Amino acid sequence: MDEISRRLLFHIGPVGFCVDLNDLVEIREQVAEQVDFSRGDQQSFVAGALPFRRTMIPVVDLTDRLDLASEGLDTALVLGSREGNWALLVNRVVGFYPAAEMKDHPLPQLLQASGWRCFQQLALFDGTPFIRLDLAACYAGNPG
Amino acid sequence: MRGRLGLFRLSGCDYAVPLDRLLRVVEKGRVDFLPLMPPKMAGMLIVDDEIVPVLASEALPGTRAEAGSQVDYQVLVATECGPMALPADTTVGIVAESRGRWKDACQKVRGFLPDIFCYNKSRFLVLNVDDFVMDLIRS
Repeated sequence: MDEISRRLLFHIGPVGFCVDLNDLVEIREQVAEQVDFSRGDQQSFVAGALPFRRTMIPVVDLTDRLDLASEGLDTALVLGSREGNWALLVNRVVGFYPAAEMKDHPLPQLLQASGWRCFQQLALFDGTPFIRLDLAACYAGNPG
Repeated sequence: MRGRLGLFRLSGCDYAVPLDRLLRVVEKGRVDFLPLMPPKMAGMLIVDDEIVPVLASEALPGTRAEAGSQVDYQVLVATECGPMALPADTTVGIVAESRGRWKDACQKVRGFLPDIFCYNKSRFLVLNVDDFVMDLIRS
């Protein structure tokens, strides 16, 4: 199966997001108890660290930066990057779906905010918008 | 000569848009929230597989609408930046401007024509769509 042509859909709070499946390393559920929040780094927006395959990886919580409620973030998407694996806390995974079933749109100018942005595109799937996360903007191993 | 106008109401205030900018009216459309939106926007509406930004009710001048208030209609207008949805409690209809009269507005409102359209005992602020959108983007 061609992984590039599929996307993972998930929710953070009430908002739907998607990432390309080839960015995903693993999905970990019920991680709230496993995250070591004492290892957070506000400057790089890292909330803590999660044990993963005999190492600790940075955990990113986007709720503060996106002004979303942070309750119930109990699932971690382990994602790959040049700097190594990192985890994104989410509320709920919707599933994997073919990218061909989604229609991508640039973010309309009237909806663009100034300042930090972690998305420039939206994907419509079955009439519902999902934000295409720019993972490099979410975690680059350095302050965003 | 502006031709015909589409008329609508929101929270006790009357508004009009030139008919050549009126795309359609959506009843009880689902407005999806988007994080980090500019403060004058309420979200987005999906219409015919397109994403339409929705103006927040409180962003229209003169309304007593509160932030986040629900509306029954969205009036879709064409702008230089693509379609935009305006919130409305009710739609009044489409009228030829010859059916009403124009009156100088006492107070200039940014993004609206300097004249008010008077029709059927109501006074409609007429949106200057492009000026209004430019103001939104600048703000």
